Amino acid sequence: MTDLAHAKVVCEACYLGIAVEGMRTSVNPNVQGVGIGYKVTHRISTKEKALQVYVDRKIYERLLKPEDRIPDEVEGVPTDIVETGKFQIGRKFPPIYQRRVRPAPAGVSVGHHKVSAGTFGALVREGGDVHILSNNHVLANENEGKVGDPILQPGPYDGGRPDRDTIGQLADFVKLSDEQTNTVDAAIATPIVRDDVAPEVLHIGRVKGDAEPEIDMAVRKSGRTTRYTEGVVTATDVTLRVGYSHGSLVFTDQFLVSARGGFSGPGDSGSLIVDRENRAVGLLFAGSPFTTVANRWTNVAKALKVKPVS
Amino acid sequence: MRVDGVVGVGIGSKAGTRVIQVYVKEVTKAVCEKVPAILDGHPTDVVKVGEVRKL
Repeated sequence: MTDLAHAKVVCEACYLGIAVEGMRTSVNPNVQGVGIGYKVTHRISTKEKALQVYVDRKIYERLLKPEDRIPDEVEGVPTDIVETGKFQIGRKFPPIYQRRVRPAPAGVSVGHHKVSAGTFGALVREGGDVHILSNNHVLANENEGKVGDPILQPGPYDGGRPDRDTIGQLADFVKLSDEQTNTVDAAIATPIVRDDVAPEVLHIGRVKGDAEPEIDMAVRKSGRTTRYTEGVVTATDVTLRVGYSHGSLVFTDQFLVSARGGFSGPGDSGSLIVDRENRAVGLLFAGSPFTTVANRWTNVAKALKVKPVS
Repeated sequence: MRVDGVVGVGIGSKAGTRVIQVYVKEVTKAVCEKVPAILDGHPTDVVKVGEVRKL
């Protein structure tokens, strides 16, 4: 056994309580681990190998009891005390699509304070005002929201809280009807602070104009759940029955998108669908395990009198 | 859409030909029998979309 390896075994016995034949064991609660590495002096790595002792907190030597002090060397090998904190099982860090982001780009989680979460589809302009665009069922809680209601980023399902994560207020929505056919599921919210929102769509960039969906057109989107995906328009002029919380509603003038591996999932509602040239083609709002349904962009723009901020 | 199991219709493509797609929750013999092969001179195609819901 080399001097380094032997010194490490001694430390493991003395500080971590790991039993070694012929050695007395003890535990130093501040020591979290030991290893071998280059000694770092004044934040610069030297070429000298040392026994690294990982501690929760570095404490002035004179404040420590003599038995808790770590000597400058062990068995002739220099020590290097490294403050690491306590090691923990890795906590899952949510992707950018599902966490609080400021300024928030389109594609991230958003939602009315009483819904779960959907997607901030695009930054749009209505006259001189700038708004967050998504679906009625994301921002206006299926007609139950009131103008001025808090809109959270991230949405409540992703941990958004009204006292901390309110990014905007519900400004307008197209009412969903169960008596007549619908063409859009759309709503807008006014950001409280203009600089808290960005015109870029995550992994796509800025929107440049608009286009009509055509069969076999290649399209893409960024959404809260399935993130960036690419697909193909498989049908236009679609009339379809779509399930909502209080029953099914009929939509006309929609289009369908399909992709290998799926184009969307729950939480992607509100995503803007663009073509290869970043032209707005549609607003994603519904789907099944087999297909995705979207409003035609021109219907959304007309209903809310908005244009994408480019 | 009055036919049981039919949830929608649209215009799609099959083998390069424009078709009227008839969307169903499940492709069943009963549905296929009720959907005519030609509608107003256009071929039809029964397409399974499952249950479509808001996302």
